[in-house]
Amino acid sequence: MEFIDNLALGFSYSLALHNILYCFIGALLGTAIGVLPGLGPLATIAMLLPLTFTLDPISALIMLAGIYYGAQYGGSTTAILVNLPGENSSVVTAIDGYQMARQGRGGAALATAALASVLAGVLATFFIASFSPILAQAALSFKSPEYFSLMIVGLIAAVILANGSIIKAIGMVVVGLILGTVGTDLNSGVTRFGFGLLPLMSGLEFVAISMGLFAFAEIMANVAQKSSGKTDLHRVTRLWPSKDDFRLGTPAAIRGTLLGSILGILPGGGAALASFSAYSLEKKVARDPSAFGHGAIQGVAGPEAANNAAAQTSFIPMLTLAIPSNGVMALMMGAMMVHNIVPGPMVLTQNAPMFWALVTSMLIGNVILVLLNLPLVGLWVKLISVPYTVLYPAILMFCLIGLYGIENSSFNVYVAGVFGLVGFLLHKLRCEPAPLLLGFILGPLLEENLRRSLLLSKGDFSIFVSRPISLTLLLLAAVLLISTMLPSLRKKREEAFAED
Amino acid sequence: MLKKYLAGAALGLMSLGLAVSGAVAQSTYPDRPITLVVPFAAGGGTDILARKVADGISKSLGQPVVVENKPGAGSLVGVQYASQQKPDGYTLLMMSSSYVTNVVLSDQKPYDPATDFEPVTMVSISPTALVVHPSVKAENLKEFIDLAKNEPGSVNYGTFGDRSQPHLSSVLFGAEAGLEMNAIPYGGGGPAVTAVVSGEVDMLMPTIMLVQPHVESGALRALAIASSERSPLAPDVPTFAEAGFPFEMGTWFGIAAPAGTDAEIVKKVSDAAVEFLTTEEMRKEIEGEGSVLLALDPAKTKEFVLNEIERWTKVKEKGLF
Repeated sequence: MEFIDNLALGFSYSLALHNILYCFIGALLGTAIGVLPGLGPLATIAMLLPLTFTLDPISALIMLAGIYYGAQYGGSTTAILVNLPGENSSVVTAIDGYQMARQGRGGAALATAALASVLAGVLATFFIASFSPILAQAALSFKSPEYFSLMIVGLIAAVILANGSIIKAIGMVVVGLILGTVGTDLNSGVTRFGFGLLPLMSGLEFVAISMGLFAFAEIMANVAQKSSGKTDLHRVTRLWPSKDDFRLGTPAAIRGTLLGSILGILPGGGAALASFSAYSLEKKVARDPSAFGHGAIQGVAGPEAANNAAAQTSFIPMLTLAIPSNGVMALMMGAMMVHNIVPGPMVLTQNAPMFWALVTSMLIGNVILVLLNLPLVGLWVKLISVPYTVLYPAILMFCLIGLYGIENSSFNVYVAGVFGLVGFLLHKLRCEPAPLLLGFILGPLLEENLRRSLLLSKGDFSIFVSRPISLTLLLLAAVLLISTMLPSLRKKREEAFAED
Repeated sequence: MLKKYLAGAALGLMSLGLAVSGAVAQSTYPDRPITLVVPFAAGGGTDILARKVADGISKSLGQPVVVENKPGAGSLVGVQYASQQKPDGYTLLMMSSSYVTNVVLSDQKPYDPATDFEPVTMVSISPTALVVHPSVKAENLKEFIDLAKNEPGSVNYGTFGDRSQPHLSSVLFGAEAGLEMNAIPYGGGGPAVTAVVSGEVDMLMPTIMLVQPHVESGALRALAIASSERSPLAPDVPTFAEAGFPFEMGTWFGIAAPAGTDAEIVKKVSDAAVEFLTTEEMRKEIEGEGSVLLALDPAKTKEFVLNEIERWTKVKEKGLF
């Protein structure tokens, strides 16, 4: 019964007219940026963060979440119709989806993608609803030492989730940790790395860093790259999939949902990994694997269900354990902290309305997305032809207004500018900025909880290993760390990301 | 000689002109929107109160009063910004207790709280309460003081960070009662309240509003409230004086204008604010939040601020911070 009570509580918020509106805006924006290659949910959420400051936290998170899973939808539209995946999670969708479009079955592919996504969205919502309270049971036993150990797990996870070299990822985390120390020390009131600048006393602004690293850097990287711009569009005729499509597609979508739900929870998981894995799974279980690559409906249904399910379940570790499994979740976590909601086991008890409103809004958002996407497919495809010479300046302008608005001062504009350059440099050096952001977010929490634990234990370090939950978390961290060192696992990890 | 005379006359004429234009400015003030600088982020406690007050002043003065949030460096950025604006009455500052403590207790002094602003109105004060986790073996303030005295260093109290209001309250109370307690800093009100509710720390001294629901549910025990009268929010909780140890402390809010703002203008704004604050509706709202309405005129506001400066200067001299 508690399950139903929780959902009812959530719906009482998420069905409020203004929250439906924010959900709609999020889904709409998500679809738009999903369609546009070169502009992902990470950059968009970074850009929109300042706007959410004035919203109430529930509406803000509903909208930001809508952008994330909306982007998974939008990305598949262009993948199918023009073989141009808007997001890396829809790269595999293009393989068979585009072939279907060439055979005149583009409409069926689009509908399959949408229906598989909505099915996954609904199932994943129930998955979150039944899984999260289990984690929340531990909530009250979480005190400073447990939080410290949890942050350690989070930081090691940040290293694992990064693409490419582990050494670079560790480097990025460390840079993030150092950036996180800027500002007034909570314990002593001493300003660290303030350089005599008054605005630095309250630390570097999270939004300025993420906007610089993601939005500015992404635009710079895109401008530096020559875009092809050549599109080969296939007309959409019949939308509804055939009976055969349903027979083959439905089990594929269910398999994709299960796989995606699990992969979404894991650190380093998320939409892209889920869709790749689902595609390989479908190919393995199919009676006729040779159909893949030539318009197999399972190749659309499975990955599309998986990426949507993973996009949603990746909220679980962030919300309940404060471990963001990917860059978008790190941003979401920052957005929550702006509203004084500290993610972690306490969220479910202290911010129950917010948690359940967010979870139930995903159901509403998925319905909105189907309504938004299928009838308006033609319109979305046109979006690709918007020239970047118009789009990029508009986006930058929007960013600058947002940055100025954070504290009504131009200081953050400069900070974002500097981090834009840093981000571009990191892009060129093939260093992932996401671990840096995680280090920046988790660092202050790590330090705070470490020093607090030691104050409470009067300097005795054994406080971290004498408490069972803390000890378990530290052991988990050790296992994670060792697993990244093992050559066989390392190879697997590289393979997984190589497909990205 | 003649030259000197002429120069003198010109100067006299000029000052006359200035005086006339000044008089005109007062009688027509305000003829354009006024900015109320809030040195904290939008949505916080100070901001919400400032927006209400801005709305009230604006209705009485007939010009919009626009709230401008200038957060950063624990209000230093915004206060310094306001101090640098023209003292023409079109820039006002929302003060809170940190207006004084931020500079008096620190080595960084980007402004002088005594001379850089003209006090306009003191709005309200939210008294501090002393709450403990129910497992603490003290049913009243006296038992708490005895407990902390008998076992020095055994009591851990939460703060919202170095020199935050609960930190200041606890240090001051501890010093006056001769107690030795440990400060455990948290990143803000939410985590600190959670910590005392879960029993990670024993004691916390926040404003009563922040912990009232927990006191009512029994998750926390309130031992005393640091005001001259009991709070309507928690009528069962005695004042410190009633509990046998007189101590008053709270977070206050007020309005100031940059130094040099015309006294007539200051009075006009102050009258408008007082008129609005003393309406029955506003009084109820402020008391409903566990605060005490002050609504002071400029002279009394000045006295209040100077008293605060003196109080904290003494604390600084004692070496408590």
